[in-house]
Amino acid sequence: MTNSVPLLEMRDLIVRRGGSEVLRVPSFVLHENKTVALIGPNGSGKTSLLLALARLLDGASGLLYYRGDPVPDGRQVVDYRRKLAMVFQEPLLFDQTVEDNVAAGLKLRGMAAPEVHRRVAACMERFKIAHLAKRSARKLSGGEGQRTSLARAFAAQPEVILLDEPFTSLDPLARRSLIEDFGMSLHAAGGAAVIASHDREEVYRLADWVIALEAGAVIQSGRPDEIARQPANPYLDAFFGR
Amino acid sequence: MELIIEGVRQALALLLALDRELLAITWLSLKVSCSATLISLALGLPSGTLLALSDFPGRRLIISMVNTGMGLPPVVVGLFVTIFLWRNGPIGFLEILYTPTAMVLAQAVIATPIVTGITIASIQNLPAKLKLQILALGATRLQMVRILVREARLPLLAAVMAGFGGVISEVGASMMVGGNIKGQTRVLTTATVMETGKGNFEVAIALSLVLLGLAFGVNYLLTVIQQRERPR
Amino acid sequence: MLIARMLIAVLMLAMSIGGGAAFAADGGGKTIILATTTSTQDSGLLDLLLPIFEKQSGYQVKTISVGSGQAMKMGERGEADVLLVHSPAAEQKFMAAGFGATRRLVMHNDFVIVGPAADPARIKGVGAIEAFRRIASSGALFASRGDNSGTHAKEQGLWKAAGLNPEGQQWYQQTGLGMGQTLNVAAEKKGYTLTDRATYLALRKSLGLDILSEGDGKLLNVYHVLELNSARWPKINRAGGKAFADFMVSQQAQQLIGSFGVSRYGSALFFPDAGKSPASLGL
Repeated sequence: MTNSVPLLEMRDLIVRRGGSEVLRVPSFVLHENKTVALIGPNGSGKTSLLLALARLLDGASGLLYYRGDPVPDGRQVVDYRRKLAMVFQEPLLFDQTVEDNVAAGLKLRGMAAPEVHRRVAACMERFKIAHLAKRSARKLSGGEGQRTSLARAFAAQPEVILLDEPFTSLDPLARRSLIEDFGMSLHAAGGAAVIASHDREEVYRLADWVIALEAGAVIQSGRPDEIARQPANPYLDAFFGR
Repeated sequence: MELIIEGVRQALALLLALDRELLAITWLSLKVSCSATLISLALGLPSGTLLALSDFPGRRLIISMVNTGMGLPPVVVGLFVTIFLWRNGPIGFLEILYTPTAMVLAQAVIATPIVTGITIASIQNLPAKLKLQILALGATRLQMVRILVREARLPLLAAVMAGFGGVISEVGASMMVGGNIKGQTRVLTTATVMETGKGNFEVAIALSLVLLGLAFGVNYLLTVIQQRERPR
Repeated sequence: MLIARMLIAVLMLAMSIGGGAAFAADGGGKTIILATTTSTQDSGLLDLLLPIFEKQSGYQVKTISVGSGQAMKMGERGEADVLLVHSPAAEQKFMAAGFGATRRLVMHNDFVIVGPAADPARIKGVGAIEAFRRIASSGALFASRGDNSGTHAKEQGLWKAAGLNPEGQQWYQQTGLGMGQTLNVAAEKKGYTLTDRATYLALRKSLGLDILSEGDGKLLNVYHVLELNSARWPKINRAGGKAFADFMVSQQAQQLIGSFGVSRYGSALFFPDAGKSPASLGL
């Protein structure tokens, strides 16, 4: 490893809901410029893990470190969250223009208008939605919406991007082109990412490391090709497909 | 049938002549109901948002009370507010019974649950993950609330209309706490009841037309704003 | 959203102006709450007298017109400063119980029994009690106020004197409404009712009912002004109540009362009686 201190590290994550344990991840590490993929059937805990990394999950206990320092609770957690960005399966855009949506994260951080404008323009270029700048978010197709959501996430120049199956609801053509653009943007920005996925192509294209979950527990982790060679359960077997 | 036609005819005559008393009554109706609506917004929007977003023991109980409050009969509100405001009642020392202030108070009591209830529904109607998305973009709690309220602005404008509509048209509470005193607490609704009771149907119809016009006018204005906000 | 905000700002400005005016209007010690009946209000008599009184005395009168029953209840609770009512039996009980400080005769008019021109119960020209008997025996529809007002009390007194109890009978309909509305109900259903002459005269055109029985001494409708006992309720405006009561029996007011309605209806609606002994009126 080039950098000994991981970008993010989580230890002894335990999530409880209604009195019972729903997720247990003893150790999770994310290094700079790396992408970790979370795979597993629905309900296995992928979303919960992502939310826990963003400190957005109730009922989660465990230790979370950012570059070796513990992430605080309470009001200072906002400072930590401003180093991240998150993209969900639905675009979850605001009822505004595409432009305003992409600028949202920057405006929250109180950035000055000219700088906001510059970054927004650059991001929209990168995700090929510059021609939609003035369009209302309500009038976008699924693919356009997700592009906007990704542009919004990137505009804030986060150190970590968390993605919860962001390409799942897109049609194959939209999906392929968006994965391309996303991969290039990630590479260009030099950021780290954690992406939950149901799609083998995404994992092969984007991930350096894979963590496989089942029923709230980690059952396997390793490089994509390692897991593909020796899948630990039928789901993984089907996932990597022989 | 001739009575109705005659009534409408005389009503229009009174309106066109801009009868002084009619104008005073109309202006008071507008002032009282607008004040009450503004108060109900100041109370209802924040509480509704809080109830929609937070989680604490007893939350469901409070929300069902709000929902019950939405259907409170105005005359019942009027009765209880009157009893409280009586000289010898708990807050009689305020000496506001039979004044427009008391009417604003009673109408605010009527309108606040309506605004709160619709606010709760409006915020809860937003996509479930939107709150998380906003926080994940680095928002403070305050920023998040502001964004959610902005996102729900269309149904929240409906809350305003519902609150206003509920009080501009009510008569029971206004009659009881106001006393329908000429030149002081007489509003369109109470005047209509009185004129009907006296048998002055033409005047009653005139007042009704003005009331309808007022209610329509304000709602039209708010609807224009609401629909304008709708992205093209 | 900007437009909405601007609108709200404008409205708030207007409200604060209005609110300020509302508060300024509260005189505190300069306010009198007058509890009176719907007939004095609806006839327009108070609209004539009150502005004059207010100008001369500097008091501001809040007129709450409800039935005599409710007016007296308000007096009992100290929620009014002076009463102007027309329910003598109830007033006497009120005074006997110590709620009132003084009770002075102000004016009278009379009640009349009205009904459809066809007069199915044949009460035309007959005395009040006999008329009630005939209405009951013929089962003709009778609209009652049913609201403890002075008119209602008078009506109940007449049933009692006739030895009848119309309660629960199908032809006896209790509206719980004011005089004008009760007259409308009677007119609509072509029935009989007891009304004060003033209200009847004001509505005669649109009603289609005729006066069938009048003039009987039992139909006298007497108004008194009652000041309240401040020993019981220290918060009442004693000086204001006295000023109003004094005004109502003053020569100026009495003259105005006597001439009220003459030009409009051809005859006076009320007859001034201040200072007369009750006996001279046949009470």
